[in-house]
Amino acid sequence: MITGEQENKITDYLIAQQLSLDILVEIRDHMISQISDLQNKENISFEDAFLKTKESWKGEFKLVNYLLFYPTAIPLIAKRIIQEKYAGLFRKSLMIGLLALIINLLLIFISKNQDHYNLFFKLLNGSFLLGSVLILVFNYKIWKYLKADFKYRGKSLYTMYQQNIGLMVVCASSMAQVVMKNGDYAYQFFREHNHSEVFLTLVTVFFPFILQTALVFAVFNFMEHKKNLLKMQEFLKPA
Amino acid sequence: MQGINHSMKKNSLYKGTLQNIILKLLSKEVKMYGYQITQRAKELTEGELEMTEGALYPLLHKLESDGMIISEIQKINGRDRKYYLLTEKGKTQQAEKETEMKSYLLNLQTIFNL
Repeated sequence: MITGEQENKITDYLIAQQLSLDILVEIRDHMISQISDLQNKENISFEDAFLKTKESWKGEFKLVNYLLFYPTAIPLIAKRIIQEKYAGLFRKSLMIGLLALIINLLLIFISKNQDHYNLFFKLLNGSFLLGSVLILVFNYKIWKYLKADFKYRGKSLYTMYQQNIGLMVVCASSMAQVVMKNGDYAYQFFREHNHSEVFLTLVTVFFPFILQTALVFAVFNFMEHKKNLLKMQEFLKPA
Repeated sequence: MQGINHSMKKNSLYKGTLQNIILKLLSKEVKMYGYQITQRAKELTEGELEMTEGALYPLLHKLESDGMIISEIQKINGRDRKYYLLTEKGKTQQAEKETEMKSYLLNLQTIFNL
């Protein structure tokens, strides 16, 4: 039987491994069960069982780089889990981004004139901006969980998605800039066959696409962050 | 050392089927937690299949992302435990994969019994 003090020792060890709390809660339970089993089967002390368990997990906590999303090294097991989660979210974001790109191109061809298309351009990009702002506003209750955790005095992130929420603010403010611009170059390129500004046409078409994809990805991260916080609400309560 | 290598080689044969093994184990219980899955697999294979944590957890999270399973955290004896449950999509997928797997095993058996 593991005592509360021993459980805290395991938690402290895992916090030192730089795991986010949503991953930590699962690994913590795994380690406690593993230590308990070792104590029962091999009739050894908690310290010895903990040492053996730490040894068996050593490879999983080796710090590795994941420069695309994390500025500092993270444990190998966290990277593997995060890659699986992000891949799914990125696929969905890319689909939405591509759909918006197709809609944008269609709007160029169905618009009556350049002013008409500029209005569509602002509405399309504005909908992404408005959507993300509304999601942020309606979820004001979790704003306090956007910083590092308070349970362990800022030592850990709450969830593996938290890292990307800053991206939401960056993308939303960039999207606000896009909304203030016009889609002139794209309209002139496709409708008036003015091919003199190819680079600016590409920027007009693809910059919003990249931004929309990144913004949707950040919004998905925000929603997953919220979902994981709800699952962990009991764990997050101060002891 | 030889023993470890032997066990690693045996585990590598299970590598491509781990997902199916996890889905099958989950289909036999209402819900299971990570450590329980590793122990059940070990017990059923008489210690031959030792699922590493580094293989199990990323796979569980992948299955969750794909909508095959869902997770919930419950307090058990004052300790937070994350349980995994099969979704309807996961149940269908599991049944399909089991049929495929059985046919694959039957074919292997036929070949290796030559």
